[in-house]
Amino acid sequence: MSSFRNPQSAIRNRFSRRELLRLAAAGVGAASASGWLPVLAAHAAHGAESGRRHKSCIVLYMSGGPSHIDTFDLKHDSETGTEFQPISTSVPGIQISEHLPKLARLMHHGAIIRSMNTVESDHDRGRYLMHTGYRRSNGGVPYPSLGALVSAELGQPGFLLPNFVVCNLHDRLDPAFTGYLPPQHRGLILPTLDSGIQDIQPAVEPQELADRLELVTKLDDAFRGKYRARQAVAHQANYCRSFDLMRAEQLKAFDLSLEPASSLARYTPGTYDARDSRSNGIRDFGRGCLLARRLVEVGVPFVEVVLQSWDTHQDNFPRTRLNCEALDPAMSALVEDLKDRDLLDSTLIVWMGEFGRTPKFENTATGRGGVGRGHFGRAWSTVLMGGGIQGGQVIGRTDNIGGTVEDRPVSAPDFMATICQILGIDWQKLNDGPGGRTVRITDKGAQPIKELVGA
Amino acid sequence: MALHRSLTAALALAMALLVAGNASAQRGNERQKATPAEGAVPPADAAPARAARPANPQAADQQRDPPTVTGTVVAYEAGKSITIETRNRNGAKKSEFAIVKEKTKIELPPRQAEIKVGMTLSVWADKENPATAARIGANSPGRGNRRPNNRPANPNPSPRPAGDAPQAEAIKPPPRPARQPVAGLDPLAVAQKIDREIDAALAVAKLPASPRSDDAEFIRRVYLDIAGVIPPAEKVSAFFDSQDSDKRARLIDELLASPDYGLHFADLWCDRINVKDLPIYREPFVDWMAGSLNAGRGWDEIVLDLLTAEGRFNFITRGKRLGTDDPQALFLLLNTEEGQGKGPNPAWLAGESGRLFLGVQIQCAECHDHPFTPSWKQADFWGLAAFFGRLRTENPGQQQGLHWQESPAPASEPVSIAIPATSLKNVGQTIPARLLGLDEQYQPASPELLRHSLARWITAADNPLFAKATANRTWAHFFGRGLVNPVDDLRQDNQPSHPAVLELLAGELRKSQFDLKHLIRCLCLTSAYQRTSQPLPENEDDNTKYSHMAIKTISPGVLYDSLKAATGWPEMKVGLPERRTKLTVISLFTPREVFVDFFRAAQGEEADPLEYEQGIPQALKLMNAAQLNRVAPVAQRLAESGAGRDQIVEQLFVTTLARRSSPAEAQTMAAFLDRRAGESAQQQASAVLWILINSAEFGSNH
Repeated sequence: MSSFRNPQSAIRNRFSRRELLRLAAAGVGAASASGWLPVLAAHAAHGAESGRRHKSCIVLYMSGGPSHIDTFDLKHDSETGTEFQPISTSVPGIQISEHLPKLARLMHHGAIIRSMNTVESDHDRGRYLMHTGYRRSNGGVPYPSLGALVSAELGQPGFLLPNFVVCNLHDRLDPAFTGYLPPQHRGLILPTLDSGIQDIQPAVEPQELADRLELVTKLDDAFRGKYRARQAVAHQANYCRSFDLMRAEQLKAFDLSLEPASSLARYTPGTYDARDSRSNGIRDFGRGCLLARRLVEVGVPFVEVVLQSWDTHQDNFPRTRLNCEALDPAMSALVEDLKDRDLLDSTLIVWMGEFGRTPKFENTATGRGGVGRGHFGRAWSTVLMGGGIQGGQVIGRTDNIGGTVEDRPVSAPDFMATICQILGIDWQKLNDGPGGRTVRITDKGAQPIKELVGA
Repeated sequence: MALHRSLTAALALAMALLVAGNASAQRGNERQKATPAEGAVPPADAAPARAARPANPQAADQQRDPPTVTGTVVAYEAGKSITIETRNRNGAKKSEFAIVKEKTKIELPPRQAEIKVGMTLSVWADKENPATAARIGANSPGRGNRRPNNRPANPNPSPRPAGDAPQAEAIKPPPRPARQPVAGLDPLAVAQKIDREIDAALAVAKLPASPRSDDAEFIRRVYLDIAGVIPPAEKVSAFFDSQDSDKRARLIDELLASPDYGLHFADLWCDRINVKDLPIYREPFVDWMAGSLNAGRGWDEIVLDLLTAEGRFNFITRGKRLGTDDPQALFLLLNTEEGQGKGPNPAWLAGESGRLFLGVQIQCAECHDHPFTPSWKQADFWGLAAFFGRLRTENPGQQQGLHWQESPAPASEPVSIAIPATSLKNVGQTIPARLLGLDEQYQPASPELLRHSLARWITAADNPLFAKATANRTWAHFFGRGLVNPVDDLRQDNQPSHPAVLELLAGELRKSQFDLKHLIRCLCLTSAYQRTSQPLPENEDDNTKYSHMAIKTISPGVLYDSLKAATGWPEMKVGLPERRTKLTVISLFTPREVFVDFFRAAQGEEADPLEYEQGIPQALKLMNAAQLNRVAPVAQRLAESGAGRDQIVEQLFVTTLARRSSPAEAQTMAAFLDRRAGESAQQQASAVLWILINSAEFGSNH
């Protein structure tokens, strides 16, 4: 727990010098009724001059745990192998499932890690491990989710949009947590993409809102002056950022209706049934990928897009196939669009779940059509694309049934270190953790995958 | 090393209790189980009638020559006196008898030759020798209604239906000693002692103390800290007007007697035990805990209940809510893994028990010897976890609910646990059960329930960690930081800022039988607590010596309740995002739970009371949510009251901030409203209310 941090360092952590200067400029003592507005203008100028200097990361999170055996590491040798056929990819020698034909043509941009070797086989704990690189211990150090870490390490102080956005989150497995990092790095969750950011529209006229906030500023000023209340500083900064966001030009990035219909059709081809939740989920995943591209274009460093329904304890084959039919067009359109915009080398796409699935079947009583696969962390696959990595590779190898890593095991900390290194984050850095401790960004023993990031 | 020695002493006590506790099955308990029809599940909205059941265990024994009492021996002095305890889940009753020759008849169980503590027996006593009785766990119905669906408190759920317990289980946990009311507590004297220590430390540091808070600061602070909500405007005005020199002490007493006290602290404990994964169970747990706290039950007894619950979690929806018949089992539920082959997790249970109740971060030693806290080794952790090793859950079907059962550890067999594969180091190694700070492996002298043994050791008055951890946490709640920080990291190399104060408070807890209301009185009566939060230039940088009060951020739950109080809306329905559980029943969450979830800062850690933790979505919500931009009932009432514009502004300051406006603020507000001369009084009042609610001061406790 992080109670009772050193207040001064907390202030420093939370607000850059620039932000503190802004606070002084924005709030206190501003006599005009539009004291908030000049700050906005200053931001706009800053945004234009700074450009985009950091890498971005898009995590395509396959919630439930995708079967490696039926997607990127096909196995036919056993009775319980995949029933899908392998197809060749743009990289000679690499084969993936027939239900991922578009991605197959883009394989030279990416790498499949077939030797994931992790220790959790519970959804919640697996999700935590893959988002933090640490195992969750009840009551121990709370670690930040990858997006919060990226927000803290790569987020630009003057940037108006949130640094961490989560699309399509429908369940309680919330990846937006900040752990020991301050709350401003918490991910902005968009449960659906239809309504955009909640409450972003002012309920009163903008001038009226500015007028009211002017009075809030005066009250806060008096409170801070009398009591030296640093909470008032943080409150002021947060309201200032929120107000900026409400009026930010870049908010348009969230508006998918500005995208041509042809573009959306590439991400989610086919028709969908609005009454069918599964069909909605597929459409939302495509739209989420499109939104991720739009956000990265305006400089958001981290977006996570969730595709549900990979927990195939039953009906493994039909469900995996359906999921692949959602994944393939959306992920490949994302890669192509980023490539077209010269953003692929600076944007890392991470395809992962919380674990893979068992080589053996479950629910065999239902017959071959209904069989499922269980949770499996010992050997499974993830995919990285873009980000300037050495593409066209397969890392590691599993045995003939996909049950054991035979070459080059990659742990969750290794995976985390690899992502950090690709994004330009020092994965060995020590952060201020709870209770005055220092905490490594990645767990001890982590080694980035050299084949991907160079020696 | 002092810690080690006192722990050894504590164990001696625990062992004595254990030996005493292993008597044969008690008839008293059997009789309780046979009570008919208690397990029937009442409909969701019906007030449970079962709470009011009188404890009268003797009634069933009225035969031709009934014994005066049949129960468990809790004290015995040969030839002089014997004390028998009868107990059911509504409480315990203790009867002390002088042993008078020829007049007192004691019937021993078969094959027993002498009277021992823990034994069940019957006493026929002299009529002139009246038994003393102390009922524990009396319950007062909560009358607060600011939480949704608030039901009368039910601290003592009904016993299980007949025939419910497995027949094979012969070992019963030993009865708990009955409580006598404690006399001679003097909170003011304790407060003065605390102040002497604090003032002495300030003098050493050459720091002046800030003056006493004014009435406005004090009433808002004490309301937020004890009742968890801002004070009603009329209370504020009456408090300002009162000339009573003792009015602060009276207010403290009044708040501690209000149901809001229990509700607020139960709410805090929900966060601490990490109920956020399962907010669905919050309500029955809060009811139970609030009832227990409001009734003034000892904290040791409440913790004992949490650790030794058996549970009847019922997953059947009653109306819109899930119900539970044994809410104190929530702590176990939160530390039980779901799924096949899973169950109560000894590691979680040990870690959480250590952290929450003993204030030790032993959970860090789960996977390896702790790098930061050399006090705790991996063997300490698993030694403690071994006490939960025989705990299992049974789920006899959805109708029956989930309950926790423990097979007794056989006598004279050393207890141990194997480190599971989820650990990082020494997987598979067998670790002997061992209480913290002891060297010997734990070995029961006769078959016993290990979880109960551990729970009694944790909550024993002599356990130096338990009393200190309780005192430290409570202190941190009122002062914004613990005497030891982090609050759950008591150890040799992390000494308290004011050791004598911690000792004093731990002593008061023991003396008062862990009466938290007494502890809170002691804290709130100090000058240190009653100081203004306005720093002097000379003490501005002090944040450890209590020269001025710290400014705390109010928690999401308190913010919700305070928004309700400030606006007059019966519920805050501010268009929060939908949230689904595995049960995918969104309506199972109350608006308050959804709000708290949305405003909670971070997952997996307790909020820092001294930090502002809101992010952009939360600020957007408070600014732009439709409900907060409509004319609130409070604004409506004020506008219709016929009060003048300036009076309305003043009344809104009192309602939201419990203070009058400064001349500058009054002037600014007047100028603001002058620009809105065309608006209705309701609209004007609403705009002012919006501004006050969105101020930093509203969300602060200073």
